[in-house]
Amino acid sequence: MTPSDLDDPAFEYPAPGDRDLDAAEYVLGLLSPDQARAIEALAMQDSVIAASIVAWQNRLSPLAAAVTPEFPPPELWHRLALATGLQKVVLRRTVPRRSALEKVWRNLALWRGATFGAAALAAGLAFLVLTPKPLAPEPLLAALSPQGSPGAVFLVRVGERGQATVIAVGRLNIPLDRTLELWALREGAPAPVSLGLLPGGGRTLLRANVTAGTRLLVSQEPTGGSPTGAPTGPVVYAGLLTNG
Amino acid sequence: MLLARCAQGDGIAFRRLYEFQSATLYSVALRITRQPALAADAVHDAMLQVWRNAARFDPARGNARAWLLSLVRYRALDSVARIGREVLGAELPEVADTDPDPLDRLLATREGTALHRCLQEVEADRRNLVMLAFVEGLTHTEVAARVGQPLGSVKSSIRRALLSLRACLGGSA
Repeated sequence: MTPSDLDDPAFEYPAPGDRDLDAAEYVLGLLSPDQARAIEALAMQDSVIAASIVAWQNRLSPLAAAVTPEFPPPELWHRLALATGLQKVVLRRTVPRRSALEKVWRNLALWRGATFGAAALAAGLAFLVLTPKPLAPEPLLAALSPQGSPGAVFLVRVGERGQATVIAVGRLNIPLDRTLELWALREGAPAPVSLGLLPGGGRTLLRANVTAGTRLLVSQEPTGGSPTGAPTGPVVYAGLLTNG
Repeated sequence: MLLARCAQGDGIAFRRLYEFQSATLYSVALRITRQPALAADAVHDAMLQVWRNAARFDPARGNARAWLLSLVRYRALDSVARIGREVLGAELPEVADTDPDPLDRLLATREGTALHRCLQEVEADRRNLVMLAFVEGLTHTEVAARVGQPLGSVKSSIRRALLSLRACLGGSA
């Protein structure tokens, strides 16, 4: 309470001794720097205040979704990689995942092929045999998985001329009034580009102007897709396109 | 759990955490600082702290996303308190929210849906003050100046909104 509060006839201060509400004001950022430092010092000694702060952080953090997402400049990751010494580590460790991805994709393709019957499969194989191998460029592959879980939800294969196939392979957890939208964030690009909407299951064919190293992101959007041309909802799945 | 893997020095987990969270973190910091360089610094410092101190995060005390977001917000608020918004000069144009109601975006997550429901129970004027404080990172005094209301009534309106939110959301969320 400050002297100016008393000049205000409408002023009535609710729950003046409620330190849990003081913690909430701290979490929101309402306090002056001096008041904020005082609460921080208190929280170091008083576990009740510390717990209040954590509880309010948990309650209020979903409000971040109300801010239109904006992608940080690409240099930010490079700065972080430099500071953490991760530049080489990350690149080296993504390589072995490629072979595992290829295997899964081949199994999926074969399994689907079987449903078209043996003749179609044989024709496909003949075509494969006739196609000179060196001319076929390696397709780009990516597994898109949710944060905090290694399990892929979508597999993406980008072949010649940017023909992309997206297959839903995992269980999706999206509210009914939301749509999933696929985005490509090219290395060094300031913002992702939409590749299209993804239905909740099955196979989707898209065109994608992407290269190895492009990051694929899936965001939750209102029905019909992002109204702005940039992701407006949270990124729910992501993965890196690699070509071995 | 990505944080647990970060604590073990797993670089891929750290990269994925960045991939998922950087846009949210950066946009929140940018709205508070209104300076791309300061916003990037806030995200950089918070992510570095996560990499170095991930082991100190106690999952029993709440969700990792809230922790990470708070690290970024406190850093952004600190830099604004130190440097000030006015002196910066490079005022961003008022961010055009094409969404008729940005709060609807909360409905994408379970926690967000609960908060959205509880915010609807708060009187619209009070709810807007809470949003101003959170999104723009304004202090009591700045909120009062922005909406042209006496400091005392701004303080009590926000406190009432917080009381209502606590009653509606309950426990330690």
